[in-house]
Amino acid sequence: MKIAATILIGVVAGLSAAPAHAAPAGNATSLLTKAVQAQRTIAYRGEQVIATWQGDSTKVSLGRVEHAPPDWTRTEFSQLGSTRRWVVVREGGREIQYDPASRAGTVAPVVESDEDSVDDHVGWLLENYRVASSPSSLLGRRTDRLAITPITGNRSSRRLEIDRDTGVVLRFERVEPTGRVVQMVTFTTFDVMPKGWRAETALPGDLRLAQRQSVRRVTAPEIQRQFGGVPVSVAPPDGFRKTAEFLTLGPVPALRTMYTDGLSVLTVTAERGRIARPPAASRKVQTRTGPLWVRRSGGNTLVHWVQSGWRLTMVGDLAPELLVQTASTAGVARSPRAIDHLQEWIQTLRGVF
Amino acid sequence: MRSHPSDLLSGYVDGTLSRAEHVGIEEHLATCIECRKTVDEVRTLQILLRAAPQPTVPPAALSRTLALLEARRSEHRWGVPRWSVAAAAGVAALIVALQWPIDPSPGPDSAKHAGFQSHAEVSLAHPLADMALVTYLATHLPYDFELTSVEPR
Repeated sequence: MKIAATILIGVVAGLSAAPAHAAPAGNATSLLTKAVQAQRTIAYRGEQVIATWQGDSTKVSLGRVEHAPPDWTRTEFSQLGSTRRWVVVREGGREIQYDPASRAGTVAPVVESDEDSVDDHVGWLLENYRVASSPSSLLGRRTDRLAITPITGNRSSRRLEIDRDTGVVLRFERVEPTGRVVQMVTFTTFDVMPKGWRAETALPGDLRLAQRQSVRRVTAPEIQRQFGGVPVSVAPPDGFRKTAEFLTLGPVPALRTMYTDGLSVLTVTAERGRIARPPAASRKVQTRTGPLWVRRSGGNTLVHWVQSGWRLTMVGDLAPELLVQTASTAGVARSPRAIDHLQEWIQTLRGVF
Repeated sequence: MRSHPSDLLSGYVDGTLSRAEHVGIEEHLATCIECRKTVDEVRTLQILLRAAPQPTVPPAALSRTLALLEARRSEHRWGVPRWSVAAAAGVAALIVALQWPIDPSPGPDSAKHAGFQSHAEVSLAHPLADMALVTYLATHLPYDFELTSVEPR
């Protein structure tokens, strides 16, 4: 898409020319912490341009954001080239997504972040990334431009413009190791609002909301009880560590394990099953032992495979080669046989009847 | 002898009876017209049999007969009906077919709840996610804009 390409090239060129210096650890920590805390304290509204590279094309969306601390946010998206709009409201620990035209949507509890471990995560981030900062300005406001580059290869860099007065991230970019910008979110207008400015806001009364599967943290004994065993483990890339496990209950219970290097997040979803369910537009990669499927989107890579009776899906903003290598640490089962398909089909029928 | 010694008359004609039996039969024949008649019929039959030509047996008849017997015995031991042979072949083909590897094809509903969007949802637990809340929203929503369904995942 030409518009998106023009925007991205402009952003890259602008940032490349900007002088930057390595930020002292204390400064980087305070800037990152300030950005985290901004969402809890600053009320604002603005309009954004969101450009995402999809692997073979670029999608551009316009977003209108309204935020009221501590946890109310409404964002309305409209995608260029599409007549559809999409509204996301986060309030009181739940997230509602709906189509404003049809008034139909879904609701689910929000996975709460672990605020107590901000310092831990910033520490890990500084182990794995170099942080450089420089003064800048955006939309007539003074900002700190933060460049976060990985110490090891095969990871994406981030560039952020943090509003000096409020700590709100006014621009965000994700850049692949190749130098290709794969995502860019930038405010085109930004206004700080008085606290409580959206206190009286109510959702439309005629919304028809279906409950989405909820996600909650889970303990090791509960994993054992729910799945009758522990999924095969993945050896994450260097610098990543496991930070949390989540359970999604539904027709197919799933365990989601989160790994992070302080900034990037790698999730592995495991559910019981012997037959892979590769996502649309994924391509098959044949390994020495069996097949797995890979799909790229917006700088993220998805790898899907089966091993030891577990269906596994890994997503992260890492290079496909690295994720395939990571998946292989858990082993990749051979292609399913016709009898396996038959067994799966019979089990599905059992579930229906 | 009061009753007719029918079972001894053929031996009498052939001369295979004991002396006592032979004398007894002669005494009976002297008084029994019916048994004399039977003796005469046996003697006539013997004469006719002696006059009949002797059948000749081909030299290979024995070996052919033995081979035929052996074949029958083998068939009885190993032979199975044709339908059961076909059924066995079908079962064998089915077993081979069931072992055949078949990779599933990518589909729109496949791994939907384990894809990019769920990754974005879980990523919210990262404490720095709020730093770029707008990024989170931007990250997962435009991805599946067309795929986003109002149905529960």
